[in-house]
Amino acid sequence: MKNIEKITVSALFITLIILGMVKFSMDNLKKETENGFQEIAKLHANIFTDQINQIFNNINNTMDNLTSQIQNEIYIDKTVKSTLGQNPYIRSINILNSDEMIIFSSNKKNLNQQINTSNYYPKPFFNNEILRFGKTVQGRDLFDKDTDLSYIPIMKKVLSNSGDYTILITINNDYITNRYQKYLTNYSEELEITRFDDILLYSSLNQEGLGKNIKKNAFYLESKEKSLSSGLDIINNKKYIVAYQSTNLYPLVISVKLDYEKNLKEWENKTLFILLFIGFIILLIAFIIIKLLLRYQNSKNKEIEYQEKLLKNQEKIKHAYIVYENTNDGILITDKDKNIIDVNKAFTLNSGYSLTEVVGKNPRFLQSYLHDKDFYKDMWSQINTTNHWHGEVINKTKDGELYVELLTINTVYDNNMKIKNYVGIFTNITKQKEQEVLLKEQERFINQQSKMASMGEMLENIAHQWRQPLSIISTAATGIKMEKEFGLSNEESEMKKLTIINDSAQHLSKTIDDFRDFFKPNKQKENFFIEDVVKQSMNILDSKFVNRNIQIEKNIFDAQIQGYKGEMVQVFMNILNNARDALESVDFNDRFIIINIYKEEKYVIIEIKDSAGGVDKSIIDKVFEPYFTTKHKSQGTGIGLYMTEEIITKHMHGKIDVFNSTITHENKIFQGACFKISIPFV
Amino acid sequence: MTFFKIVVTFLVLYGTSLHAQNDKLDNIIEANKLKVCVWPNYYGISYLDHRTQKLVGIDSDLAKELAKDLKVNLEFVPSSFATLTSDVTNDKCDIAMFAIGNTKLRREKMRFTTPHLSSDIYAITTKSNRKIKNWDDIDKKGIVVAVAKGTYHEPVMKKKLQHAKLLVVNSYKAREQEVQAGRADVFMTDYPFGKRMLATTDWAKLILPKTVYHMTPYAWAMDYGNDKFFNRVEKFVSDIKKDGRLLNLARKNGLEPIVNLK
Repeated sequence: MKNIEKITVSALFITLIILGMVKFSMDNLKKETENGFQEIAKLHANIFTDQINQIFNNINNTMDNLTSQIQNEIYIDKTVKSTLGQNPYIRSINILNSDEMIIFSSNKKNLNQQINTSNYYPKPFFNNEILRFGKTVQGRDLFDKDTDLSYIPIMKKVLSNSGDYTILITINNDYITNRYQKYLTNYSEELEITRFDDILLYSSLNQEGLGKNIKKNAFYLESKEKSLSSGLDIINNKKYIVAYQSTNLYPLVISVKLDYEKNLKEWENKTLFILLFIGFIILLIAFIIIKLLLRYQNSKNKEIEYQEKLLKNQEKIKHAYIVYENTNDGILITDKDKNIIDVNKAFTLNSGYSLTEVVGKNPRFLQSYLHDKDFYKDMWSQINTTNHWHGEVINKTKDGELYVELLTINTVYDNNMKIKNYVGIFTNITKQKEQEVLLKEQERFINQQSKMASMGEMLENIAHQWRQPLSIISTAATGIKMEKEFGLSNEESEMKKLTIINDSAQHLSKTIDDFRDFFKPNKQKENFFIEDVVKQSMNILDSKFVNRNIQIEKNIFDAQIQGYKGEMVQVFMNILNNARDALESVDFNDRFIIINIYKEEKYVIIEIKDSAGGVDKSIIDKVFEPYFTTKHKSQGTGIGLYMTEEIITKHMHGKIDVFNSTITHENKIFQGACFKISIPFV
Repeated sequence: MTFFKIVVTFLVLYGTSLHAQNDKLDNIIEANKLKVCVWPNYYGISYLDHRTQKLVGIDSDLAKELAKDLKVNLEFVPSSFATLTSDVTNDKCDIAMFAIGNTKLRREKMRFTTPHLSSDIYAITTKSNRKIKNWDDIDKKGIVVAVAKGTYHEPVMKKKLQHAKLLVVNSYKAREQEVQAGRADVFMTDYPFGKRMLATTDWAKLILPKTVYHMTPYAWAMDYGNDKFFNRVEKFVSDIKKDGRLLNLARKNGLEPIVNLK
């Protein structure tokens, strides 16, 4: 980026230099052009001055010649005619007497005119015989003042044998204009002749200013001191290239003014073309520079992108290396021929082999020979077809110990899609496997514990169930014995009592059947009706509920389900016992258990609700955890509900949930726990 | 009557004699007019600009100052180096003030004030002259050197030139006309004239001497006698040197390099 900035700044700098040089050159050219026009103005001023000088020299000479002929009228007339013929700038030649009255004139109309020459310039200092200039006068000649024409009167006092005279010659203003018309047009030029006392005598443009004072400027004043002065000047808000030159002998300043705008217009047009051309060149250069910059930028961006990618890759490689070296998973990399080229620390830690010990070897040296050949054949077959294998492998460490690893093997291809490497990543799951075994043992133990607990409960139930029939049998047998001993026996009474004994024995036998069914190990899953399970459970538990004044209400939709019937009975018994224990702990008489069994889509729903107030919210999520109990050690083991969940979810493929709900009985509402079981239909 | 005539004649003669013995200064003051001779073609010194008919130059300016100091009117009298001596000695003017070179020849006939300017001799040739490039080229065979008659250049150049031909011309313009027309190669002049030539012509080229060639003090000249007037003018010279008028006017007329303030 810095380079681009440098290039941009440099390009800008160069452009500025070029523009500066162009500006400098154009300014110089303009200055030179101005100087050129200034030289033209000076040259013209010089030419005009020379010629004006020449004109007045001629006039001066003419006057001197006439002086000697003043007395000879015929001769003078001839000379005057000849002079007028040779000098078209003279309008008339006049001779004034000492009273300044015209006594001779080339124009008869001028005769006898009185002329005042007191204001003619300059006033003589030593010598009267000098050429003096009057102010420009409007008119054709001395006699006329009404035409558009004008003339400059020039006089010289002369001393002849016959007295003092004044020769007065009028100069044709228009002659100068006509004479220099070509210059005036070509260069948009203005030509002026000013008397030293700042009176305008002639102007190619300003007729109104004739005979009046001009506005003095520095160039004009300088020309009177130093003969020639030139430069740029603003006159009446207009720019001019001016040159002023004073004549050597006469009190006249010749000024040449070139219209700046008009004269430089052509040059400016040419300059415009050059500027446009240069502008085009600069734009072209700028375009090329921008193009080059963009190209440079692109290549630089690509390079930066590549470098960033490289850096990221390096970072990735670095991270990968950190992972590679620090992961707990062993990593093994082989070449395409399955010879080890690298292993990580975790590999060494798990297998006991260092890198140098395994490099170049085929990993088969790790085999435990607990897998048959087909295992490895299948493994490589899968790798060759899917480039991937995942599974458990038992290998052997350097010390000969077996370890179980969860191994993933991937094939790595190069850019040409040829096998480059095989990478094996394994996790040592030996301890996990051992843990699994331990867990299974623990589960088995819990099951056993559960069975034992159930068995104890059963025995209690058996004892409870048997107490009454045994008492009846005992009473009947004691009655028969007493009647025999006291001789009160009779056959009818004995038969009645024996029938009672027999009925009681039958009842005991039936009770044993019920218990036997419960304890009979379930080898196979079977189809059974849910109502049978409820009945069997109630038969076992009935006495306990009756004694505790617990009312059980059943709303059963009978349905057939598949599973282990004994385990399902155990589920009912566990939940009902739990409800019974909860109801026992409450201090009121409205002790209810409601069993609702109904169908919901593909499931049989079993709801067992009680009116014991519900399960505390803080423990409701823990009731299915093993060894969790709220009862005294003597009363509960904490595995009943755990086993219940295990049976429902794992053996019956259903769901069990517990929550607090209300039940309505005889228009009364009671709070209590609700166990909801969902079991799929057969 | 005769006696009366005699007395009148005596008184007139006595009066005339008394008057003759009056110093020029008294006469000037009495007449309220100071007549100063000037050479009206002396650029920078006392030049009559034909175009304006005004005298410009250091000495014409100083003449005005002198008249002012004397509290009299001033009258310029046209003169020239050719007529200088006669103009001064014949009382055509009271004093000649146009930077007159104080030469021995002139001192014999005229009394000089303390010099207020001094100039060496310079040569003016045309720019197109191929023979004269430097001072040493002047005194060569075939070279024509013009000088104005009556100027101190005339005797100096007469003495100094060994090989070149000296052309003495009468009129003031003749020198430059001779050179311009090619009849002479160079004309000799002084600092004020030379400077003016360069300023007013396109063709003039100044040739400087390599070392001091002939430094001449410039002063004003008057007739001998008239000590009072002489002393008064000397006082004036002393005054203008002290009060800065000389230097200022020298500066105004571009003659500062040759002003003599001592």
